Amino acid sequence: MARKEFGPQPWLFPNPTVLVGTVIDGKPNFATFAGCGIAGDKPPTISIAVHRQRYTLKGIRQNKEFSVVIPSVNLIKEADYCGLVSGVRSDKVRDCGFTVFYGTLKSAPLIEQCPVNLECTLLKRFDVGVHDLVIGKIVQTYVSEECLTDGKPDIMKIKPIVFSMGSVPRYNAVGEYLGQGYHIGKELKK
Amino acid sequence: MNKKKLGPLPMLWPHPTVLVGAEVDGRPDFAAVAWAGVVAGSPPCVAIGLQPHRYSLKGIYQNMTFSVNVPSRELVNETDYCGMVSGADTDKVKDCKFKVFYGTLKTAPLIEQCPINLECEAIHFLNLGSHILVVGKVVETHFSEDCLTDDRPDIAKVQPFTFGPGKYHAIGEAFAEAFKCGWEIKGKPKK
Repeated sequence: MARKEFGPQPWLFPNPTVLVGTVIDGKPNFATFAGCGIAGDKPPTISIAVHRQRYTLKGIRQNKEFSVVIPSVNLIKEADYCGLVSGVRSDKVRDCGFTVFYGTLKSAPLIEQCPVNLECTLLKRFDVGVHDLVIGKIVQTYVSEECLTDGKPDIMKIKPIVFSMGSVPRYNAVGEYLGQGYHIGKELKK
Repeated sequence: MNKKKLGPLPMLWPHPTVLVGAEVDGRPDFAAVAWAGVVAGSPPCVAIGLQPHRYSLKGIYQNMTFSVNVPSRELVNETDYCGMVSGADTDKVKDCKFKVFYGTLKTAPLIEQCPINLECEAIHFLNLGSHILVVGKVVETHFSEDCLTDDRPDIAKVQPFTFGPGKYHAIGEAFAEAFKCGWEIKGKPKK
């Protein structure tokens, strides 16, 4: 394959598309993020890159708590909107018609319409250039019952959104089943 | 929607599925990692979660460099294999018939068959209990020319895949334009 060098680029695909919820000056706010990932599982931890100018960081600093909410494809306009406007000037909860609820944490707003909601406490925050890498410890997970199959989360029912690149930035759905993890590679085992 | 509490779980879908390359005791090795994410920004950085006993982590500590290779769906069996066996016991490059090449960094092995290769320098290690979060600064990006459209990376041509829960899935069709479709919620403000 012929290759082209692009210089340093953060091109690790596919990226998820999530909403990060915070309470800022007493009011819930949600912002869209694609720069995030799971960091570990005992305890379950998550990393999110938050640009230092973002309003969300103010809420994380104020309460040391936040939520990570996974929207499904039917909320695509709302998910995109929360990345286009700032909570400084707009009430995104009202604009998007989100029904907000709270679980264990009082400053980690969750969205009723989203199939997966994670409540997180701030574990660590460190400097990575123009972004702060925020590490959260997941303290509770909520999954909509209709997105479970035999009691387990089913990605084809959750229908999460992939943030992707092409000639223009786009959103993709998750596609067909390719195989079972920790299984399909066995045929390569000697 | 009725919500079920499942206790604290690492559920952030879709997870990417990448092959992390490291040079361990002078030999290239690749491990499958789903707990990875972009840290973005300038400088561009990525983060990967590795269990402390993982063989690839040994190589990262030895050289302070690693690679992130994005496999296409054709390599799903090889990727799964690289997540099941340890480089301490087997030569995964040989087993998977990977063609290895090197770019700017001499200790960040890259896979020819993967459409995207990122060369990284490790800049942070954070102990999170079960996993060490490794933050890497991307120093060079290699992209297969047949996966470009108008000189831009095209995910439809890269055909990466996603992992979890327990299964691999392809990426489906593009259904909306980013930084645009959200304006339908409330009209775009006039400048």
